[in-house]
Amino acid sequence: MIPLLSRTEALDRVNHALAAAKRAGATQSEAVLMTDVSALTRYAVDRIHQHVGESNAQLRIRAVSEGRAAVAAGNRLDYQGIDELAERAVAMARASEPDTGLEIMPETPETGYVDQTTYYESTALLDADQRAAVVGEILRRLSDAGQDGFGALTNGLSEHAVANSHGMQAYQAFSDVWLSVIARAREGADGRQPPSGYATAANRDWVELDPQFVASTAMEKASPRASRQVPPGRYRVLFEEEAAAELLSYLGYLAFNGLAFEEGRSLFSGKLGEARYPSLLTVRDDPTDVRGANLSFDFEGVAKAPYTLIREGRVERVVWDTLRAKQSRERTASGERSTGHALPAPNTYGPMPFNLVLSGGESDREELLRTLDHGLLVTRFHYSNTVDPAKTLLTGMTRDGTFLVEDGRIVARTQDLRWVDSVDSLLKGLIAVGEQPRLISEGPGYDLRFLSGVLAAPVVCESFHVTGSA
Amino acid sequence: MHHRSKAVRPQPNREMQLRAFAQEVLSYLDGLAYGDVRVVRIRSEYLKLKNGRLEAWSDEETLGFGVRVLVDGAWGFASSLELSSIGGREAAAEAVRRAAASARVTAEPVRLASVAPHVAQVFSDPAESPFLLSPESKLEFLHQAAEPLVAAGVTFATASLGAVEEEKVFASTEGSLIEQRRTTTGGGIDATMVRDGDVQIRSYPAAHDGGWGLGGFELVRAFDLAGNAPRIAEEARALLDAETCPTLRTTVILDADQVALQLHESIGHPTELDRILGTEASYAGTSFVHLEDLGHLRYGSPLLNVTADATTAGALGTIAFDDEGVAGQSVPLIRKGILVGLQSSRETAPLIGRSSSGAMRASGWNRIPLVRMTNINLEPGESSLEQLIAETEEGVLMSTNKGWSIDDRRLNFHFATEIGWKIEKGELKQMLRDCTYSGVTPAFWGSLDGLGKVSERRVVGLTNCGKGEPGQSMPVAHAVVPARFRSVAVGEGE
Repeated sequence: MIPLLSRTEALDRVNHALAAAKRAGATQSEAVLMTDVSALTRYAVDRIHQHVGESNAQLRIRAVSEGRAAVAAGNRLDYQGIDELAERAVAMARASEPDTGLEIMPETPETGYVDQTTYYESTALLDADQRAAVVGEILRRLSDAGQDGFGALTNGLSEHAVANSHGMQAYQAFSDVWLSVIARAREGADGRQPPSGYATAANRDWVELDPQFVASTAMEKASPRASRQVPPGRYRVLFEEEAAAELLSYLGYLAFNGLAFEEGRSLFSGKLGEARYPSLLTVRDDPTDVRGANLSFDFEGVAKAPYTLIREGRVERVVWDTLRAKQSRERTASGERSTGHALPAPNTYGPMPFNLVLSGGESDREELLRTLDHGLLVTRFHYSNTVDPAKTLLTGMTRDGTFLVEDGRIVARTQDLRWVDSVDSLLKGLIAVGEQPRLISEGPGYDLRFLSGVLAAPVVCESFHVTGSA
Repeated sequence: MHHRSKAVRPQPNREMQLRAFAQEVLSYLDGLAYGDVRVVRIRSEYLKLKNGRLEAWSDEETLGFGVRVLVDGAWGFASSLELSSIGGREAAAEAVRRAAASARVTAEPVRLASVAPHVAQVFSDPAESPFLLSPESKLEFLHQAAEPLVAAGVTFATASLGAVEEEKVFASTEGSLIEQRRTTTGGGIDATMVRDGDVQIRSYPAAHDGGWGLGGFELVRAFDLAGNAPRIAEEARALLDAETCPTLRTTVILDADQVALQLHESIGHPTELDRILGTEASYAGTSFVHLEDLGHLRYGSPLLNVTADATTAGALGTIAFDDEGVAGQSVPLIRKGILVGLQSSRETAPLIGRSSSGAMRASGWNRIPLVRMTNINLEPGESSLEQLIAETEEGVLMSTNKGWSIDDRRLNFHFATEIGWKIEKGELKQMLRDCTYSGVTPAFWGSLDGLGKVSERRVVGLTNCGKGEPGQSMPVAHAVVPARFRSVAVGEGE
């Protein structure tokens, strides 16, 4: 596969959009172009049952006319289509209301972005035959081990181009590949749900992804061992990377969000500077870490940079886009500026950190396990959701590998467990952080391809509230 | 390596007839065992007011096509925004390449249940198209809806309005040529109170994007948002000081809105045949239901009757034909508490000896159809909500979903609602905040002992049902009534 456009073509389209918006009467405008060439091979048990792909794009034009603003979006990339889209955006802006905030955009062009590699030819070269061959080999190994496999292998290319009428010009091309493997034993003991294991890997560079290691990790978790029912209660717990990443993602969405912070809906509203967590907790947002889903600018074209959000247990900052930072400055004279965390306009959710890093620990897996005299090891969660967003109170189930640990050793598999707990209280009870974080991504997502994920290390927390099971 | 044209959508293309293009692409599939083409245009508009200011206004359109083929008994699918001859040829060729690659890792070839080819045009245009309404009148409507919330001084007063128009042509190598157009519209209001880190919310007519249905702006007008706003504002304010939902096992009565999500998660999804067969295991999960349970499994009490009905008037999941050309239909899933039917496709239905239930739907041109809910409806009972409460010695009435979670086999669930009220000796008593309940699917539905009557039936639209890889967000609906359940675990406790 090759990218839908190129740097020259993509910047030509967004600049054409700005010119068209100006011709239509816009006093300010912004054009954001995202393209996507994507393929996915999905498998279950003994076959590939879905083998799909798309070439798609979205051009979003935010037009401002005398302080009134609106956004029109489409996927036509021919000049006539762009002209029509710009005219629609400007007509909407004229019919809109003044001073809504939607007219706020960066007014100073960026002078330089972090130069980083985000596109790898190896990922672009991965084709249907190769994906099928990789999946076939995974299924063969699983079958030989008496297990069924379920998962997906997806690769794709995307481009982001952002320009605005104040001179912003940004373009970046990305590649990424993601593999998931659920290994499930063919027979469950005593008629119970069969044991299963899960592993994923994500990378911008296909060469760096080891599919058979992913498969082995999932297979090991689904291997035969004793099973034991675990009653509700509070347990010391080792969250592996998948589970730790999900908890941190919720913290990003609910608490590091500058809009929620401003509105008093964030756990950290009014609490910056507070020494809230054990000193071994440091959380960063680092879009320059090449182990992660690195990128150089946000959806307003603002340059990305590393920020420490929690430093040695102390809550240091939240993240901002241009509008929310301005509102914060006006309310508190805080001096906040965009930290490069804007989503495409109009964004009612607020700014989001897409490159969270939970790391800094030195414990290897055996050392982490040794912190558990009697506790649980959780591979991943399923269908976690918020119960009380302002308190980061969540509920979810464990899935594909929950184990009982005694005296530092895994002694049995447990049933899937229902839990209700807050990220806040779990992190307050942080005991240990593992070494070598790895990128945990949720995969291809629902919209245009955009790799995001948490660089997470496994963690041990003192008290995990298990409330039941199926 | 596949090299494709860099010519992105030659202009002009707006005038291209979707039908002619679908037929052209279909011609590239000659000789294949099976192939179909969908050309889809989706336009969506969204407006949101927050504290009297227009926070969001967007108008988005996407146009493209998808080609699905069977080669050597395996599926391949490709899709593109390039509505041109070269775009069509390349997508068709890529779909075939993918199918051929899949066939090398496929034990049993796909066999499709037969379906009579349809040639049809079904255009369900609304009484009052939201896309033809002037911006000024939409904004005025939203301001009027939210004004009582602002006047009441809630921390955040929001009002939203959305609409989606979908135009679709389906053509298959078996001779179907189906053109459909449908418009869905929705809107609602929220009142949020924030005090010292405590956040409480009330929504109307439903949480998570308001109330949605198949139709136009007339649907949103009928909600009487402005008329309900003062009550919503007052409840949000009162929730800050309300008693916290106690932790106990008690009787729970759910309002129709919460019944809709309960039904969706614990009956809708587990009766999707692709989940039962394992092909959704890698993302949304499987099902506790097994193939051999059909006709035998006691899913709930004898009061429980559930139907998958793609023909429900005005519902978000109502379709004339699904995305493999099967007519929308009404299929019983549960009768008197026993599982009698499943939601299926042409590929999966033969495995239970039936014809497709017409449930294959794709979220857009760039996604393949999957087994999806249309409208999963709970048949009404004989009671009124007042009667259900009057017959309850002790319990909790819960209203309006706030949070949801269920395991991958759809057994263990946990729900939170925006508001609740204590029931004592058949009467509603004090308001409760932070209401939650949890349970296990068959036991929970087995404890069903009261249902609202047909006059209390509401059709609740959900816009965000997620499934598939890559993900697909699908609009579905549930015709539901209030329901009562005995001995339910309520509250968080320790």
